[in-house]
Amino acid sequence: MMRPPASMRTVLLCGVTWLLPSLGWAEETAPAVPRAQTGEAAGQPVLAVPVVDEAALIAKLRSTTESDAVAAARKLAETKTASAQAALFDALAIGVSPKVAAAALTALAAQKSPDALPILQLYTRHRNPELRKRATQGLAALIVAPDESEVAAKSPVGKKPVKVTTKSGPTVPHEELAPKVVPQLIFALSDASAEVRQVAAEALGKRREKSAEPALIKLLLRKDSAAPEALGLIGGPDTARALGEMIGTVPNYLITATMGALLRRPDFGPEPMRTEVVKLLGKMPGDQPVDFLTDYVKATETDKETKARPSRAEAQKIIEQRTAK
Amino acid sequence: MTMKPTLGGGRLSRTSASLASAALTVACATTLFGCAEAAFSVHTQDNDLATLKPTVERIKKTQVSRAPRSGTGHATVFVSVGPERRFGQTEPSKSVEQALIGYDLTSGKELFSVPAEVRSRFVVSQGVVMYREGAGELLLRDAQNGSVRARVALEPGETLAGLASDDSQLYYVTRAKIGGENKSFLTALLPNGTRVWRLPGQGSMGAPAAWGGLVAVPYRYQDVVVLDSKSGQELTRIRQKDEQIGFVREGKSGFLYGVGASGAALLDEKSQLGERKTISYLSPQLGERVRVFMHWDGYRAEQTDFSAFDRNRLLWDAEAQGDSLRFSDDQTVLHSYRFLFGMNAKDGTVRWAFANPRQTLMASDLVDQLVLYVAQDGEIGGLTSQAGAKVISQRLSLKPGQQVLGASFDAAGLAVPTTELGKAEPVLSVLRGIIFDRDSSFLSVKSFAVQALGAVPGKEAAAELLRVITAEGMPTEIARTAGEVLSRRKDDPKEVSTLLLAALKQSYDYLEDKRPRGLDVLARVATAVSATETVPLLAERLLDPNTPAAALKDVVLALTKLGGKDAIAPLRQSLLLYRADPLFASDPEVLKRAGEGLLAVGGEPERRLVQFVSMEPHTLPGLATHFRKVLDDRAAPKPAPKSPVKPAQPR
Repeated sequence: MMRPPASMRTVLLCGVTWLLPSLGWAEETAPAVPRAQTGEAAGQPVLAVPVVDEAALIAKLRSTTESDAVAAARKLAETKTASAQAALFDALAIGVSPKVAAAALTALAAQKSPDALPILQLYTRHRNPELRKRATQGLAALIVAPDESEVAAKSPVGKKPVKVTTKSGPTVPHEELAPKVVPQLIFALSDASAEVRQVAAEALGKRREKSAEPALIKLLLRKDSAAPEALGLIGGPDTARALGEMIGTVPNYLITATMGALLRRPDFGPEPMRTEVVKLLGKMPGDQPVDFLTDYVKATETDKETKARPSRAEAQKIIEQRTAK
Repeated sequence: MTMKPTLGGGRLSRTSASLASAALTVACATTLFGCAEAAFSVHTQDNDLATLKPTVERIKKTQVSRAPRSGTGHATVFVSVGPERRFGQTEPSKSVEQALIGYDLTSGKELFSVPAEVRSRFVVSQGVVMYREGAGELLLRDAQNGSVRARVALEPGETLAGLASDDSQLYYVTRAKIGGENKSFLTALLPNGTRVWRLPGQGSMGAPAAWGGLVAVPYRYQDVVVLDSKSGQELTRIRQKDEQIGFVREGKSGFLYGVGASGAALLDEKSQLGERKTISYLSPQLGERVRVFMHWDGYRAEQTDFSAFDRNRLLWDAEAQGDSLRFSDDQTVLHSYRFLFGMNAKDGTVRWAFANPRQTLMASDLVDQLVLYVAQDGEIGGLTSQAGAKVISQRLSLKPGQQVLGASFDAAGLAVPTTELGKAEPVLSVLRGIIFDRDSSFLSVKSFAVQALGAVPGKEAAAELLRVITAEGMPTEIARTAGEVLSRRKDDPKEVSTLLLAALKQSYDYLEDKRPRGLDVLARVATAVSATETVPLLAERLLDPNTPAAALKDVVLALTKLGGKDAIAPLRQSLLLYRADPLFASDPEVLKRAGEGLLAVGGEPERRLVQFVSMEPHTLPGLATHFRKVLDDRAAPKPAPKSPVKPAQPR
């Protein structure tokens, strides 16, 4: 491999710090590991302890063999040290192949470091939709509570719902970044890639981000399957009313799924609105509305108060009528 | 006066011709018409001022009455109707009647409608309308009632090449291959069908024209032969040395002949010079992308019949002004399918525009101060030639399934009605209608309309061009033309910048179902008008993942040209982000331009950055090689200017 000229080191000082093409150079800049830590200093033989050789990983991240670089990025995610993070930032800043970039972005998403915000924002505007998706996931990870963000795989629309968490759940990693990240996620709902929109909608739904409601309604009007679940988590009475007006213009299964998601929420109401939604669901064709109503009936049978809800009675009535047919 | 045709005359060998020169001189001196050679003789001297001058004098002295040739004093239009002819259809539909309709424009009445298989345009003389009927016959019908006055069969094997008429006779040219040689014949008829004379010629004759007792015929592609209409005697002959002569037609001041593909000249004394730069020549200014069709090609037999050429042509007349030739009233009218454009012949700007709703205008003519047309649905319309205001709208009664196929006007002297039926629509509005018409088959007209917008003053026209550039579904060629036109306009730069800023803000938006269009053209326009205010938006578009890849190169070039130091950050970012991306492997042009842009507007840090990109192993190989070469070239010392060679000092 041709070694870059010395002048390149100047470039490193100009802000782009990850320019070293060979392992030797990397070793020079790798964080010094205290000799005592390895046992070498005491003249004893080195034990086979599972120590991650971070310098080697950083060097591998720059390997011209793509699989090596990808593997290194994955492992660096686990180390969570400042130098590992810096190496990932630099790799992304000076440009790597899309596969390596994808692995690096995933690593940054796992680390949830607020320092990653600028580089994640940069990659939400990348021409590669997969990289935009990973960057959006990284942004979401910063402002969505961990256990919520881990529920990555959404249940298909109309199927058994995912666990609904409440605001009192785990803490958000960096709520202070929300004013910067939320607008980015709302913007991502306009992305050309359905996967990017899906990631953004999920994150906004999980955050119950009310400011995203108009954009999510537009998303539903565009017949996008990312909208129902998120809108169900965010929407209120106005959303329910808007859904009623969408019948005929938006496919029934999407409206049904949104209404089903609204009903799943314990905080959705008031009761007359719940009843309206139940009635509206009753008018929708197919088995999907009956499933949602059955879930609603089951979810409200544990509590005396909820059991007495008129909406529950209405749901039972509809189920009976439709199953009798 | 009737004269026996001089069949086969003039076949003298060069030797015998020279031997008889003395006799000929005497003959020429004694004849009124200057030369005793038979008409169309291959030995006749062309570009001879001795014969041209008297002919031109005769033309100048001639007073041609501005009245219909039918002799009735009424303007008439003769219309061929029948089933719609579709492309590739050889036989017309039998279920719809083909007919000839005579319509009196002066009184607004239909004169007659007779079944007729019309196969040519019409010519009129002294109460008779003549046209080709069927395969090989000329029919002369009464111009008032359509009854047949005479039938003239074309000679076997002969093809009709053109018709003409004046106020006393009718003329036609036929062509045939006889003994392997091309022969042509010019024949004159009286209105009763009697042959007055018939002149043969070796080689091709084109469609004739008649004016003021003279007949002119394009001959052998380079000549125009002028004959006396009564005697058939050849009076003079001119030859264009540098261009082909494609047609001859009559005009206000005599004969006009086609020179080359897009010009015409007046037959005058200068014609004997035979070169475009020295004759009385003109060519219309219509823009780059408009095919100029000044007249039917006199040598193409199929153009004697109605065709698309009748719907795509320039209506014009020309007259001498001092030493030069100019379009009458400095105006031409461009007819293209449904559209008519009144053009300023001096600068090519559109004075007025007319778009007929839905129906194609099948025939048109410029008659004094009127532009007459017949639409496919049978409407006979008239616009004032100076303003485009509609002053005539009459309608033929067509039978079910019938459509107008073509029409010829005999309307000289038709007075312009004083009452306007409708004001001419503003040019901008008509042009906009044409450009955004959903019918995509009029690409050339749309292109023309876009070019015409370039000369329409005001911010609205510039805004319209921007709309063309960013319109959904607009053909690329049209959008590109709009960009070029906008770049050439002399608008207030601030106004254009404001428009560009608004247009460059557009980005892809899935929720709003919007996508960027014409960004490449916008970037080029921004560069052309030096709109530095657009730099931030250009940077935004460069980094926008939804900017079409095809537009990136122009955006980079615009940034480099306009951005200065502000261009460095976006250029650097895009170069680093994509330098290792296989997406750009097949076409790294954008990244090459970005790197070159950095070198052009940046300093040492940017040079080092490019150097890094050129040497870093992840960089796309093609890109790395390119930058290495660029850097090497920059590093190479420039050759010192050669010092003048000193003469050796003598020892």
